[in-house]
Amino acid sequence: MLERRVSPSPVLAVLSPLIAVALTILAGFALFAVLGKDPVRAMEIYFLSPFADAYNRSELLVKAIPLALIGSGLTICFRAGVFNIGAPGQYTLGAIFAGGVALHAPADAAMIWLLPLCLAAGFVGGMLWGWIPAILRITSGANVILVSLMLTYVASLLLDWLVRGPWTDPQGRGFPKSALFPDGALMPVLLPGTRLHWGLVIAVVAALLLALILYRTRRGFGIRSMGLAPRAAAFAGFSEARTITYVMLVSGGLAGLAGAVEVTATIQQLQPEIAAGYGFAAIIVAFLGRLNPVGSLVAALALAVTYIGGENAQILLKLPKNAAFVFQGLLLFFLLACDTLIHYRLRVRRVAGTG
Amino acid sequence: MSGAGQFRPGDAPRPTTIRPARPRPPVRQAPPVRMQVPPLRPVSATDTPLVAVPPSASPVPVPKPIPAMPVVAARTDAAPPSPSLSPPSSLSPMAAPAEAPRPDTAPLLVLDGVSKAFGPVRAVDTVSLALHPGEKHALLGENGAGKSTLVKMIYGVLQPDAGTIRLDERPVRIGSPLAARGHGIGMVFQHFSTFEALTVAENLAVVLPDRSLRSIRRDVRRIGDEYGLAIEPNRRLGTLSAGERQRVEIIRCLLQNPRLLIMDEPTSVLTPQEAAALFVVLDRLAAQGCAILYISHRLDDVRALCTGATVMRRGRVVATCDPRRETAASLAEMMIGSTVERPRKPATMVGKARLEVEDLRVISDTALELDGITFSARAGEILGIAGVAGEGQSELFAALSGEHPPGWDECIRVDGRPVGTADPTRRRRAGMAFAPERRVGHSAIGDMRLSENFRLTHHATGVSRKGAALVRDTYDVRAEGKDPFAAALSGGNLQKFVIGREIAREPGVLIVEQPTWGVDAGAAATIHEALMALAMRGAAIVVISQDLDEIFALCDRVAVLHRGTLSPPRVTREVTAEDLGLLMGGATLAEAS
Repeated sequence: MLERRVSPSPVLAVLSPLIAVALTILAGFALFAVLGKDPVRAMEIYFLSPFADAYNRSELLVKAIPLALIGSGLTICFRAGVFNIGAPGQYTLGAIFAGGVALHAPADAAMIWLLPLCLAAGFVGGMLWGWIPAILRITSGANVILVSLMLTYVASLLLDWLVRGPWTDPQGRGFPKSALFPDGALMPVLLPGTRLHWGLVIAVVAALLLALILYRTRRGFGIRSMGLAPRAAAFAGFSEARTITYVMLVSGGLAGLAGAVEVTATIQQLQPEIAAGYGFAAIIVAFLGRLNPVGSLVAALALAVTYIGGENAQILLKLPKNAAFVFQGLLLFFLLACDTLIHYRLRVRRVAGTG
Repeated sequence: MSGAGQFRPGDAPRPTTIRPARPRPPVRQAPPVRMQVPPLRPVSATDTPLVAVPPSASPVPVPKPIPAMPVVAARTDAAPPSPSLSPPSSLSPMAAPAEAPRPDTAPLLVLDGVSKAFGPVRAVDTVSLALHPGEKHALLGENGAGKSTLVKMIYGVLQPDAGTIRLDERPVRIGSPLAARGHGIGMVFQHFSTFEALTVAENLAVVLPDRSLRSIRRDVRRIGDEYGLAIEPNRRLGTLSAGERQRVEIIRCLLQNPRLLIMDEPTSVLTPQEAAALFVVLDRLAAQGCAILYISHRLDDVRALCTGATVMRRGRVVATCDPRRETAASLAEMMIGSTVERPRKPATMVGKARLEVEDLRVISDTALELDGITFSARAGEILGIAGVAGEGQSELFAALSGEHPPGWDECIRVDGRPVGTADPTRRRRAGMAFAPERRVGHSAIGDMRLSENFRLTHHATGVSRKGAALVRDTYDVRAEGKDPFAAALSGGNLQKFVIGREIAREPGVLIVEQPTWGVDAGAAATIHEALMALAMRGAAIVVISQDLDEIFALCDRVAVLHRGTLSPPRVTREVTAEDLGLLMGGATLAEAS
């Protein structure tokens, strides 16, 4: 039986993600045992190998950057009760816009401005893609979840067409790839000898800014009110339409920025596969981070562990590729289940026989 | 004393009539008992228990306050002159020998030393209570006195820490509301636990899993007709007002053939006539042997209906009495432990119009919700807008608050400034303040702290850091902790906070809807005093309320909302509750006076 608590338990608010991680590990044990792998070794690879050396640690951060950017943007959306699950599409559009600027920049342009321009373009691209579901929701009551999700496929097909058609590298021998971006459009590396880039700084600043907006501004107050009680928010004078537009623009823009960062930093060209799956994983990040922008920094790191650990496990244990995704899914599942405990307490009792 | 207490069922414009017996519908469950019971004359609530008529007495009602009831006589004559006096309702399991509440009958429910503590707070402390079949027993006490906790234990929502509950003289453990219903205990809640997205019939089907939707729909219509609890079973619950939802709750209980019916503040949203009609229903149920545990802050109601009362204070029973032998004042004194004076608004000098509403019209997707609403409220005045639930009150509130602005600017003016198209924020800046009927989820957010809830309606005009604390001090808002979540406050305390929050703006115009609904006497008095004080300082206040006592206590003028139109306001002192009741029922002014 679940019994509602009078006020949310602060202890469990902190404990719940930890319990969720513990349960995920337990379920992972069972999973690997069933797959016929040594569970202890698997756990070791999953959770310890990502921290084993400097290279792994920097890769961890490289993976965490887009997750944190998208995830912290999504917190604002989810806090408003607007379920934007189209971040992969917004991410892709950001990559396309950034790539478009990078590929079409005149060769003699001032190089110093090219990267900021690419990133700004990416932000705008994501915003536009996030704006569409918002407009449709406000004008015709369309479902944000559905529209944003569908636009994901539109975006990935658009990218596919661009790199196979108009933006194909003329020297690419027909491979579906664009030319490499010019140097001025590339994100500089933060730590020499690794792939860790300045996107880390961008992600941290973005998360702090969002936290500031969410907890210290009137707009953020309106966003939180709408998520908790839409009617009370409307009564307080926060326009639903304006809030929806705002959160979709911000979260779309940040997903677009993540796409721009990713293509300018790690991929350095446009291709059909640009790891847009970050956009879905970021949903987990947002919830794992307790819908707090700063929390999603930590959560992004935790999820990056499962990414790197999963890759390592594939290599070292010959695990199927999807095992990593199953693992992430388990984590989200347990997390949401444990969240219930913050607002409800568990009470064991026998079911009354009558009736 | 005014309002509900003055009414006799005979005044009701819609007397409850009983249909002749007809073939029973093919439902698995026996239809509600009312069908088999000899219709009794509508009993004025102050009468002595019904069925205790000696065998020699004529079964035909002596006075016939309602002329249009030939069916009653016919059916009563047809009743077998059983010396046992039990109504011929052998079909129903719970209409077993219907006895008057006499001490010598076996009690239906006995509580013996029942206690319940929440942490250090002893919410219910060794309470004992006995209920006999057919008894109408009141449970009185301020908010926080432990009434709800006690009743939740009877209804299986909570388990007592100590003491025993006996049903039919056998100790029972009521593990859940389902078990309680299995024992024939039904409850009408003050706060309704329902699914807003489902229809009325579907909501009822949730608690009646073995009934078909069709039979439920039919029974809802039938019970609606019989008791004046009309409700369309296919409407979504989310579209119903609080009053209409309560009707659904009452119908839900009646569908379950209760032996013990617990009613938590049932009349707070009914017109006097509807309340009187409800009392007829309750009297009839009691006459069939159903015990009724009646929780109310309306002492007049309790005095009119109940034959016994248990008064609780701070978790303990402090008195038991026969409410018919008490006055409202003496009952209130028992509850609070000191004398209370009902505040009454002194006549004020009324100034210029601060709020002017002219030909306000609200059209929804399907219907004309409000039509030609015209009134003004002047400085220093409290204007009451009376009406039964669901006559357009929510629409009027939303139009005035700017949540659904009516669309043309000139139809609402504040101090001469048109605000008809403004949103709530702009209206607040123009000097308006609002307090809607629903607290959690509308005027306040349960999952936010009081300081943030304060900010909800102050963010546009500047939030003082100490605002929430100041409101708590000024209006004696009781809650644990420095800055608790709104959900942790009792209804009365949260409402004091909400009203205090709005008054803290020193508004020129205040619109409140049902300011004391489901609120204990102490909090209601605080709220009323605060509203009067605000009016004395020159604000214009509009009170949209279904509580006539409140209207009479507070308002200088009163208008009645009926089907989206508003009667011309009249000076409260010059109208009677009967006049208003007729207007609420749709009569025109000429007919009313």
